[in-house]
Amino acid sequence: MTFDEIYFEHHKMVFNLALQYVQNIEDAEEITQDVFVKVFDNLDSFKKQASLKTWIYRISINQSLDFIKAKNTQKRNFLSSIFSLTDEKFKFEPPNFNHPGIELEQKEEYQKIFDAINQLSVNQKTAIILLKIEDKSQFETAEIMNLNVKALESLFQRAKKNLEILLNQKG
Amino acid sequence: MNSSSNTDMKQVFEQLANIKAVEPNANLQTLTLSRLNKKNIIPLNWVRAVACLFILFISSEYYVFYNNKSNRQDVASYVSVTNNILYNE
Repeated sequence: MTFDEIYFEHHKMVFNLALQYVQNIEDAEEITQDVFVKVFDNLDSFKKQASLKTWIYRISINQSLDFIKAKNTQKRNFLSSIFSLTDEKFKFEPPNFNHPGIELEQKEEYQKIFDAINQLSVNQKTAIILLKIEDKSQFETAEIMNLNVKALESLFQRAKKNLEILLNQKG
Repeated sequence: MNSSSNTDMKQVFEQLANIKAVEPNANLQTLTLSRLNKKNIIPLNWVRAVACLFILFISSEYYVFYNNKSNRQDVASYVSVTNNILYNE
């Protein structure tokens, strides 16, 4: 499979996944470019232990999280970025909520939901995105996240509970 | 969890499931390819290798130069003070 074919087949998936993490077009485009640069660089070393799609999913998730971490580090000063907890580095407040998959009339409602999702831990956020937005099966999600199905189930239950608490706090 | 909050979460998840997949910008492929092409002009590993060789070359030159200088000083200490008087004068 050539790089062009891989790009053609997966770019929409990568872009939409990045969009769920950062909720604005510009950042999602930047992440998509980064993902395909990584895919290009590591295509030779790709071991077919997982499918190509799963591999690209993992790169996209890691790249989105790295992007968020980098943005947060830029915002904070040096000392606070060193002493902040690991998960704090991944909590994201998008500079402008500009999700093209959401209709304008519902923007406020969705912004509230995404604000709560952005407060979740990295794994909980990923579980919600893959299972509920990307509509992946439990088996696929577990494979992408390198977990077993039972661990994913309990992770999702915790994510759901925390999301509910956060949404109730926001009113 | 009570039943009303369960219904709320069900509604939240339904809303999330209704987010539409979006077609990315058409020139995103061009941008990605141009980034790859720029990247391919000089691979970073080659730049690192050349930089290492350069540092190695400079340090070996420095070592050789100072070694020679100290040798010259050693030789100079054996030679007596020069003067302009001829022996047969």
